[in-house]
Amino acid sequence: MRYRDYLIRRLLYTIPALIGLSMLIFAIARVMPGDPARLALGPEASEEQVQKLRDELGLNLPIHIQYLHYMRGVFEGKLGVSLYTNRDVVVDLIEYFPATFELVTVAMILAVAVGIPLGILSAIRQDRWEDHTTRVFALSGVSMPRFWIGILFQLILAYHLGLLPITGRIAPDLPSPTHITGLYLIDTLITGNFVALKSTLAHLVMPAVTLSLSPIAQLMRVVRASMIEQMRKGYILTARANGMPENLLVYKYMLKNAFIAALTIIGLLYGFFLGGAFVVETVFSWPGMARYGVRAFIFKDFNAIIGVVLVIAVAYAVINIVVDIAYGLLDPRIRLGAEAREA
Amino acid sequence: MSKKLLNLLLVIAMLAVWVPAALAAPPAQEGQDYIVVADDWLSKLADKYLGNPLAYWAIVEYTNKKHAEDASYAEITDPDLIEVGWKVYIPSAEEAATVVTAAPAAPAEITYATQQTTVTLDPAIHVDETQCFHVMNLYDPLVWPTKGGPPKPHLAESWEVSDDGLTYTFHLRKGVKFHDGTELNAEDVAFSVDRILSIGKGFAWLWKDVLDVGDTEVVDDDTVAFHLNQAYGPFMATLVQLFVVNKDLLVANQAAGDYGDFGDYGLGFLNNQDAGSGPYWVDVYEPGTKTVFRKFDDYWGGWKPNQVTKATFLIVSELATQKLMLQKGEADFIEQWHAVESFEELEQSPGVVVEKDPNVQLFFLSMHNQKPPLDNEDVRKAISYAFDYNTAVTVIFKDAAQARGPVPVLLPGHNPETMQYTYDMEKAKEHLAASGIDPTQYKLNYVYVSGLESEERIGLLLQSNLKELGFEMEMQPEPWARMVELSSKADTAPHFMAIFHTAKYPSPDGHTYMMFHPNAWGNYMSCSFYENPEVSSLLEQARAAVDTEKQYELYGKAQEIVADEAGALFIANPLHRMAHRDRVTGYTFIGVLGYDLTWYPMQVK
Amino acid sequence: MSESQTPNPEQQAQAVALGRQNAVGSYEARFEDLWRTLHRLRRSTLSLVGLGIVLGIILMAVFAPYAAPYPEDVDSVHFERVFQPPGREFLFGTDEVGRDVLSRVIFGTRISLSLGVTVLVISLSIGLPLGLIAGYMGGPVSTFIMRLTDIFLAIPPLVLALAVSAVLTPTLENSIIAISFGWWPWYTRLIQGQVLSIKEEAFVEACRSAGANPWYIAFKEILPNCLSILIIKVTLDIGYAILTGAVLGFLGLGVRPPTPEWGTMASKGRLHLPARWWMTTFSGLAIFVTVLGFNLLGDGLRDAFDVELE
Repeated sequence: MRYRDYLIRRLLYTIPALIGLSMLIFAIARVMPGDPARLALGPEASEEQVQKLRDELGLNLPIHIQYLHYMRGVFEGKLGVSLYTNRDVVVDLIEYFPATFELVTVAMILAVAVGIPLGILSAIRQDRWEDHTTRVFALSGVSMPRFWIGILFQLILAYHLGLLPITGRIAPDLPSPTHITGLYLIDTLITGNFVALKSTLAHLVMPAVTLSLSPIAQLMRVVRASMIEQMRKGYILTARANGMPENLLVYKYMLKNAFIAALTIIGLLYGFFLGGAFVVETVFSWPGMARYGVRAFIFKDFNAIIGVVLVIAVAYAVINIVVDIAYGLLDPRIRLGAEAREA
Repeated sequence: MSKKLLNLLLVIAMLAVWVPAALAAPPAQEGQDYIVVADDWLSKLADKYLGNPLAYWAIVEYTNKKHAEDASYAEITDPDLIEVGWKVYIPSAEEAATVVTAAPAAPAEITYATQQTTVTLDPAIHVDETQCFHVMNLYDPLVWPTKGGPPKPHLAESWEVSDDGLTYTFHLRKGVKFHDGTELNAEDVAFSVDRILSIGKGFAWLWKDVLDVGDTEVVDDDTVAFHLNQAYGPFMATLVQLFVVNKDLLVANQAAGDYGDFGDYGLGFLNNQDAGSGPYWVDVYEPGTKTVFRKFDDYWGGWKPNQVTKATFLIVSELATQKLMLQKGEADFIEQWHAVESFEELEQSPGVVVEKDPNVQLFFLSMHNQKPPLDNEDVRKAISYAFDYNTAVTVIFKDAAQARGPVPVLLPGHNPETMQYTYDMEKAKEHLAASGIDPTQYKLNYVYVSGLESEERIGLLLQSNLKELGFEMEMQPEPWARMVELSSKADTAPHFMAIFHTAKYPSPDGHTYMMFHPNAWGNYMSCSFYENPEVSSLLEQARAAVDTEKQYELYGKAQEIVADEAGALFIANPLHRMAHRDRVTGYTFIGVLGYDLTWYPMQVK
Repeated sequence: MSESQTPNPEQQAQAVALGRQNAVGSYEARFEDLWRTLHRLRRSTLSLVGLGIVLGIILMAVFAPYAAPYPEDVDSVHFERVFQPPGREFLFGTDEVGRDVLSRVIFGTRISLSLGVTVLVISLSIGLPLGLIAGYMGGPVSTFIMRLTDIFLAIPPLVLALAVSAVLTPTLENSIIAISFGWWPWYTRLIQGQVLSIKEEAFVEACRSAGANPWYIAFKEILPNCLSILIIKVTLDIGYAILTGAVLGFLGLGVRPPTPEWGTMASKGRLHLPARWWMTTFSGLAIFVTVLGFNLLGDGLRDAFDVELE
């Protein structure tokens, strides 16, 4: 009962945070140097044309009015026109979002599938060679700049060894898969287009691995730490003393706690994924929202900047709430202790 | 228990290595016979043995060839239908490569990778490089530029000019079809001109002083006459930027807008559709990602075998990635804005050709003639003598020619008598002393395209040279759009701005009037804000002159004066380099922005 | 104790004495703890390696003009020796204007360190006081501050840094500001959490009932208890801040040339791959080693303090 209230309150708190963020980003974007009207019209446009466009775009109004107009547009599903693609940012985002979503999801799955087992292994084999190697790997994974590792992958695996394609989401001479969800993996599976599916998988390998390295390392550490702590706890020792078989111990008690530990940072990790996507999509020319965002930042495409930031904020918020729900479901202590935490 | 986990991990690790390796199975080296089994189909075999499912045509070709000699091989009439037990021949990778593109139904397809997105397909708005070549492949102009000479007939078969230079009459080619099947006639031409003038963007500035809406007369279906309101020497040259749109199609698709009866003049429609008669039409247009051009079968120029049937324009935002793609064959062309060293590396790469053409392009730094200390002619001269041209031309631009005045050496109308500065620190210091200013009082800024390495290296070189004179200079990288904006006004323009000025039309006018006449202030080429009444008058007279010789004489004098007064810092006429795969031939560099990337003249092996 | 509202000096002194008796967290005790911890640090090789790396980098930054073989290459050009591969004369090769890559990497330590440290200083200066206030005061003040952090935490710190630096002109100072935007809320949250948990402890109660000034309690009693967590987090965060700064530089939103910033160097070098690999490789390596050093040190400190960060 009380947890549900906690969740509802969390939801309610998220909304003002998002609104506050939208105000912050809007203020930042409009403070930018550069006249968007002049940029849109090009060098040869006359001063009157520029002023006319400024009025049309509402750029001469005070900033809080501009903000209100903008928010009204958001509710109507319009995010302003991108200077670069000349169409509404919403259209751009819808086009590019699936690619990023696919990449991040695959990377997340990879991270969980590799990070958690490694963490468990490391904990069980504490201080033996498996533990040390994985820990060194983990430390490197966390310290290596993603762009560096991505470039190295490209050079070695793609260029010198020719094992994988250098960039992109799918081979350029293959027609784009029929658009059902926008996620190539699913679309190609549904339509049975196995040639495209293979190409998609091959293209996903390097970017997903690059993106997931650091989260794998972090997951590994957290799981390891949690399991080591569990192993020291009284009830395990007691159970062992009572003659419970090792298998049962690991799988039942420690795994569950390991998953909970992993879950605590999954929300944060998602933030890493979203941030890292900007770098990975740039290095691998991945046609996603993050690459679009980088271009927007560099070219000061103010509507696109606001749009991308808002989408990321919403996605991040949604994930965090989902994680909280899952967390509460998994660990009854949290459910009940929620009140105290929310002080 | 832990063993199980370890095993699981090992399996995962092995899969992680094997799966991608299996996915990218290297192609078979030798040609071989193969008996078809259940669940085989040609593209699967092609993928497995040749690494490319689309190479199934090669299997068909070779098998059928073998069948002609030896009946034990199957004859494949329908590539979708093969039977178990058939003997087919799977060629080696090299054999397959020769066949795939020559197969009659297999398209000759190429890919061009670049950073710059195109924002519009509209030939009334196009300005920059990628927009230009989109337009040049989709539409036809009246005349087509040639290398080093006057424009040649294209849509217009012949033309006459009246004696007073005010009326140009063009006779159009008959039987030209638009992509939607309708015929092109003089009405479309007049409509296109009026459209450009009314919208007033893109290259409209070329004609805004000499043509008004309604001045273009439809004499009959095949004849159109331009009535200029003043004699304009470069007029023929500027027509290479005038593209004809399909009037009926646009009128049918116009939306509400500001142009009276014409509504929005089809601006919305042409943003992402084409209404042209050119050799290609737009199949797929995803701005920011790619554009796919397909051959227009009824093109008036006709088609020969091996011409490009499909061209993909792909946005690859990292130069480094483009280079790798070209080397691997994933791209056929990459943009010209790579560092010289990259081109040197590409020359050594197998399968890659680097075309080098003397460029009708000026690389220069504007010097803000109205911003102290550059408002002092001696200071500008000092800087002109302090710059190390040799390093710029041999190391940074490699094989470039040092600029002599503003007009590129190969552009008709270039004046070889124009003065050329040299790297002479003594002279520089003399001029600085003569100017009477104290260099430490100023902080100069140098604006250039962020990420463009050649401009950055020039900037660092200049910074080092200026330090010797006592000036402090700051590097200011900006995106191109912002640079254009900054340079449009005298109070925001920087001291120095790095500009590559390619001829947009084959006349010295673009490198003189557009750079040094006060009427041109506001465009990025003229951000030196230079003003000299004598030069202005010379340029105006040159424009009015109808005789080409007279024009060149007047333009020539203007060049001399501007160079003497160090109106800007003229650095180089760089070599134009274009790297492409050797399977594509027929690339010609003409010297007008964008025209070298028209696919129609090319051949694909 | 007396019921007076404002404690007179005598009472305050008594409160202090009482606090000190019961305190687990006086600074003196804490520093003794620290010393013991540092000794424990010695046991772990990896941590010592980390410490070594960090110290090495600090030394390189301080003595850069002496450590670098070509110190003038920070802002000079030598076109006669462009693109030299790594060799005896130029250990890391030269770049596109002939500058020695090794020297620039060494000077890069100054940029990166100053970035990392300044970001942390700013984040602490904003985050610490806010966190203390939020934790201690509770109520509407606390809610307001925490909602404020929510706004800044609504998107990943890198994205916020990107957005902010897109607006500002690319200089080191502005990059620092941009990154700090996304960093300070973590400290506010951390400290607030710590304060909440310590607030109820006996010794704090004692101080409070003795009538001590809340600021005094905050700084002298509560903060020392957070010290270990703070030190660990700060150590790790310097590394991550440097990494973020490098990413900004790589994406093109970093510093202006000719400043030798590692991320920017890697990005410029990318244009010349695969043939001229040394520019990107060594600048990337520098980032890796630096962040690794701070990570090892932070990890080692964590083990030594035997503390679990939440």
